[in-house]
Amino acid sequence: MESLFLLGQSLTRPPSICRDYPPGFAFFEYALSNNPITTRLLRSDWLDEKCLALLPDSDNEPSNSCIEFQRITVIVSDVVLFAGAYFATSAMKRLGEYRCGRAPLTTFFLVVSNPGLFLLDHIHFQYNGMMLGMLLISIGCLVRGSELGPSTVASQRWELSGAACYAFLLSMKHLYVILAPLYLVYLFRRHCFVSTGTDDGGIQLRFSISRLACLAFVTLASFLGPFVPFLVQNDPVDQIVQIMTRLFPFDRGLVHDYWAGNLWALYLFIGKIMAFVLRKLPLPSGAKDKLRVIIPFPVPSPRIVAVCMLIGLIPVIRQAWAVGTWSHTRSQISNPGKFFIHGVVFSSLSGFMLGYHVHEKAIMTAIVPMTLVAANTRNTARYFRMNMFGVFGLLPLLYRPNELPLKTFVYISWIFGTAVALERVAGYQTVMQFADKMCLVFLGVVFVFMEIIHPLVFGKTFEFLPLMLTSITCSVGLIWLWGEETEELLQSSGKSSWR
Amino acid sequence: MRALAAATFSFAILLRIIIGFHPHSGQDDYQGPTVGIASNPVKYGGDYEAQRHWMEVTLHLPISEWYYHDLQYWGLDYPPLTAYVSWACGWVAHNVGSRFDGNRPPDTCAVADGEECSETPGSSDGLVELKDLVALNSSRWGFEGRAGKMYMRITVLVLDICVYMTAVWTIAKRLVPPTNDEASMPGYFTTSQQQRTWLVLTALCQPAIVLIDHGHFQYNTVSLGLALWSFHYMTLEDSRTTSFYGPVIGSVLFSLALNFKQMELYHAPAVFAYLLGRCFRHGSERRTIGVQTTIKFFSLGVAVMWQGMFFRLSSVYHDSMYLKSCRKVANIWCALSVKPFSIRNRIPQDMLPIAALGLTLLLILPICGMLFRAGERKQSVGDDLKILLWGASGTALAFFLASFQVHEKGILIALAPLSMLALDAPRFVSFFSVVATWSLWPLLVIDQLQSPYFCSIMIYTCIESLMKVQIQSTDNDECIIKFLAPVSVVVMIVLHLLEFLVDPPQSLPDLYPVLWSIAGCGLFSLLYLMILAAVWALLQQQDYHKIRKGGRNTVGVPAALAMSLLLLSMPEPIAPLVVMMSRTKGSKLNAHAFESVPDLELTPSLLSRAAEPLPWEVARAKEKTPVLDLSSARDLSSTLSLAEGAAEEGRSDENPSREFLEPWMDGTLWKSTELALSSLGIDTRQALDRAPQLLRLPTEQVVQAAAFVLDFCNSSTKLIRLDPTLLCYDVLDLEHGLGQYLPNMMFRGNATQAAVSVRTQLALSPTMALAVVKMGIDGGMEERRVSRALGSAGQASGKATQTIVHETGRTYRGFKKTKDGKSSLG
Repeated sequence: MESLFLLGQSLTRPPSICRDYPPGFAFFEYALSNNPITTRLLRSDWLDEKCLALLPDSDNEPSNSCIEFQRITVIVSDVVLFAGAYFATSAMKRLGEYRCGRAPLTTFFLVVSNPGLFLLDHIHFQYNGMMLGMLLISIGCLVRGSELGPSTVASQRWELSGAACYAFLLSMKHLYVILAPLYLVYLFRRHCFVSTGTDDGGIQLRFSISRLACLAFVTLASFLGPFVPFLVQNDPVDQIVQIMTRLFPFDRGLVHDYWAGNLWALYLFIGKIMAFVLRKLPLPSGAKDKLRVIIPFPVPSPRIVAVCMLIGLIPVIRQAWAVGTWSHTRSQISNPGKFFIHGVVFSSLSGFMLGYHVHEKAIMTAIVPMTLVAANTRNTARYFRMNMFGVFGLLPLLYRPNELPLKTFVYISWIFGTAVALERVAGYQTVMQFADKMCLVFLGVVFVFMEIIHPLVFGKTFEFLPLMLTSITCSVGLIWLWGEETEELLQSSGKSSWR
Repeated sequence: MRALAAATFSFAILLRIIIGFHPHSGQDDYQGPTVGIASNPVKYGGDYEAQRHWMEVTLHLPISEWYYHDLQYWGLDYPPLTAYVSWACGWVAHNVGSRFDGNRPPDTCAVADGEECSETPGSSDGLVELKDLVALNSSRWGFEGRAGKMYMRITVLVLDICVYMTAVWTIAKRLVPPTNDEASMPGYFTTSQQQRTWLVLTALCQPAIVLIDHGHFQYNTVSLGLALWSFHYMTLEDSRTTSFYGPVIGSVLFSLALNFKQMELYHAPAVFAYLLGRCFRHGSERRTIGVQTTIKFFSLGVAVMWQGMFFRLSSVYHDSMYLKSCRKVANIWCALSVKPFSIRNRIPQDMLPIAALGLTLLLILPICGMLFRAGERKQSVGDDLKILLWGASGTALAFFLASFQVHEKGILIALAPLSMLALDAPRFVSFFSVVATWSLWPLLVIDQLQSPYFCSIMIYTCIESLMKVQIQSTDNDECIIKFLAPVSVVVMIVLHLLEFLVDPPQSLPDLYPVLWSIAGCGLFSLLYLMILAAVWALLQQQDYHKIRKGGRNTVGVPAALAMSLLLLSMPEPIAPLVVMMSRTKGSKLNAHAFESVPDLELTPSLLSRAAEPLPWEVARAKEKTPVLDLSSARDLSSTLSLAEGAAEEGRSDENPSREFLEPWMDGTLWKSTELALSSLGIDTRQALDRAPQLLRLPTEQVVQAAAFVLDFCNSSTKLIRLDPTLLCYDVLDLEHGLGQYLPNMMFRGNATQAAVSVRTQLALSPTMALAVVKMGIDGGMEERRVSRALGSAGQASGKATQTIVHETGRTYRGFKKTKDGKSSLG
């Protein structure tokens, strides 16, 4: 997969304009542009100065070698993804999650050859692979930690390193803040409590302040580390405020330009339909005026969205508390690590569904951890569907006509390759059931309409139609999966044997 | 299975699409790092521009002008089929473009590459460009817009899918035929499915072919695919209809391939030789003369075409093109024109083409001869195709090495048939394709295809090594390649590094291309020899198969021969296993004979014959009666003779009385024996005829003996048929004789070897085998008798021993006397 990169056609983003990322990422970029290799390349003629210089918007057409350089950095940074995938799959293997012998290898390949990452990182240009690799490392650490009882030293170390890893990831990209409640509650209950046996054989949990201090120190150190250089500037408060406003731009609107397929897209879509119906409906004008107050639906403010998101996260918080509690008992029904992965998937799905101004790529945060449990027969079909809808939503990112065959065949070869691979590890007809086939046919129809029929028939009129259709299709599919994942989450935590 | 095939093909297509995003030959008129942006006043760009230009020419001009129009600017120099295909592509482009001509915006910026135009998602403006792409004359000098390039790439891709991929799929299905269990177990992939998938994947991801067609831009896959289709049809199963139509359709397809690209001539000698051989093939069914003449006609047509083209090409050898393109190619003439040899100065210019012709003929002759033999004989189906594939790539490689005016891309002709043989010789094929791609490097540098070069080689190596992990293949002639491959890969990498790091010295600016050419030439020569060896081995193997196949047709006897031959070639531990397996199979096969045994008529003569004592019975009886009471004997010689005589007389006296007493006389014993024997596949009547004593021997004993003999002879009844008296022996005697005495006497105690050699002997000369077996049994019985006798005799007195010694000495002297007399007589 590494070689499938140099598609010098799409426009890159020079580092100078990537300023809506947290400080950690800024330092990553700094390291990319100020290291011996880059300096050497700059000294030789291969890489021109213009590539890394601050440029005005009018003149930022990158040269070929510049594009090549940037793409190579993405490929090199993908090493983190490879390492993370390897680490997490081997952790899951230790857990006994995989029954089939070739499942770990298949899972590894599914993670690293994910079409979404390929489209986003290597064609659209982003560093998602690296971030998700760090997330996978963090998950892998927690899974390793969950193997043993919570009071063992090895388990504590794994949990601490997992938390540190996540904190560092958060300082690189704030998209992952949606996972914070899960990490917080799970680690608080599992790591910061010590179990002591009672007289009648039960278990009493006692809060340990020293453990909390340890955890807080490690986490904050790795999270706040990148902020320190900004704090020692002349105007620390202004710097932080500036960073925060860049990170959380609430003035950009509820949905992203491309309408990521989430709940808000569906909400707005229904609102528009209602408005359209209202306009056509032969109603008395008085009634119309009354209805106009709520139709089209009011656009929720960021505050309301935040509240919705918190509500959406309540199940995972509750289950994380419960799991953190019963993981202290000896008689574990299922492993807390497995729950944790489902928790990550659910949290990211909730964030994607309810977040403010969500980008389509946020779905990758759900898909990639889901891959780790895809080889389990219970989850295979769901993983397949989630990928099917999620990646379909990413296809409009490649909008040029000459990228049409590319994205089509990336999608098709992924579908068949994954179907073959999963059937071998999870048994026959776990994927590509009747429902999946119907979904694929429907997606195919939508795709043909938006890529071929629409431009040929409508031309420039109804330009919003293809994108809206895509996002509505994806949002319906993903809401269905969201529901399924909620059910899975509630089941996976098991029943508490703690009293 | 469908999902597996779809995944394979879509991956191959994806690879092609991705490589298609890279620069094509002569993009922006870039002509390589030494030349840079060329400012040739006559021509622009490379093969891409040529193909585009042909579309334009064929679309807008009448047929009569196609081959005459402005030859200076990429004149059409491919055979007519290419021109027709160009016309079709041009026609489609023109019509699609015209459809959007109406709403063309006044100032289109679609031509400017890489610039952010007013394009919006899903915009169809780009398609207007297609009309300009094929506009006459105005489109010259580099029409390389995004949509135009996409369209050109898509034409290659579509033709590739339609012709080459289907051909690969068909041949893969031929080489790895579907087994019966494929349909019954969905979701689980059988070995044949896996093998076929890997074969298709490796064949479709051949880096050289993909890079040249989808990177450099050419339509090689069309001609290669047509050639593969023709190979498929030529070697179709030899039934009455296909033996006629197969070669005919194959010849037509091959002519089409020739008509698309004259480079297919490299395959022509192989095809010609094979078809010629087919003309002389005498099948079991009589073929009419008409069929033969038709096939001859087609094959000769191909041959004539080939020769005509060959001489036509030889007349243009003196072109300046030769001098220009020769340097970089990895063939013999280029390698030999380097300084110490500098062959071009030693041989006069006029003689060079003739020398090339002679060398080419010399190199293709052995392969053609072998292909002729392959075509001439009747063989199993898959092997014919394999031989043709090997041979075709061999001749192509011979042409590439030895003929003139060769282009680097000529190696593709050898590579395409070879890539279908990835399962037979995985190491060889993968090594060949890497070397072929590597030899294209100088060309790819000019095309700016360095990164896809490295990446596609990497992908191919990954696929190919995964294949090796997944499929344990039986690769016979690996020892050379095992040594050669790592060494030459290291050489290749070192050359790459040197080229990257060290600039060539001023005096030798062409150092690296020349090094490339020499190393490539050496490797290709070795590979040519290995192909030769492979074809030869395959031909020999077919002889071997032929014997085995004939053995299966006639029941019984030759199966034993084949089996023994196989067993001889096998290592020892496997032999007993095979014996066991074949025995179970044999007993199953003969189970049906159980019922159909008619009753036996018991005649008095038979009964009397049955009552006759067997030799070993006589001996045993003799043993039981005290043969000689040495302690009481005075006249030893008389005692001996008396004792023997008395015993014999006594038994012969008893005989008539026994006739009416024995329980076996009513035939019930024989009935059960007969049933048991016939279930083992033994002809009971014949056996009884020759060994009437079977009538009275206990069933158990006979069956044990029969089973032992069958086991010993590898379940062949041949020995029993030859001498049924073997069944009359006691199984203990048989075991001792054949299991211990015979090996001890003749095979240094190695029982397996003894059994194997008896089986072999049985196939070659059954009487000899019988003699050996008999000797073993008799000898063994004698040995046991003697040992028993010695055991009893040990108790006898020293005098008796002395007497025996004395007696023996006397006998020996007498024996010696007679022997001396005989030898003096002789």
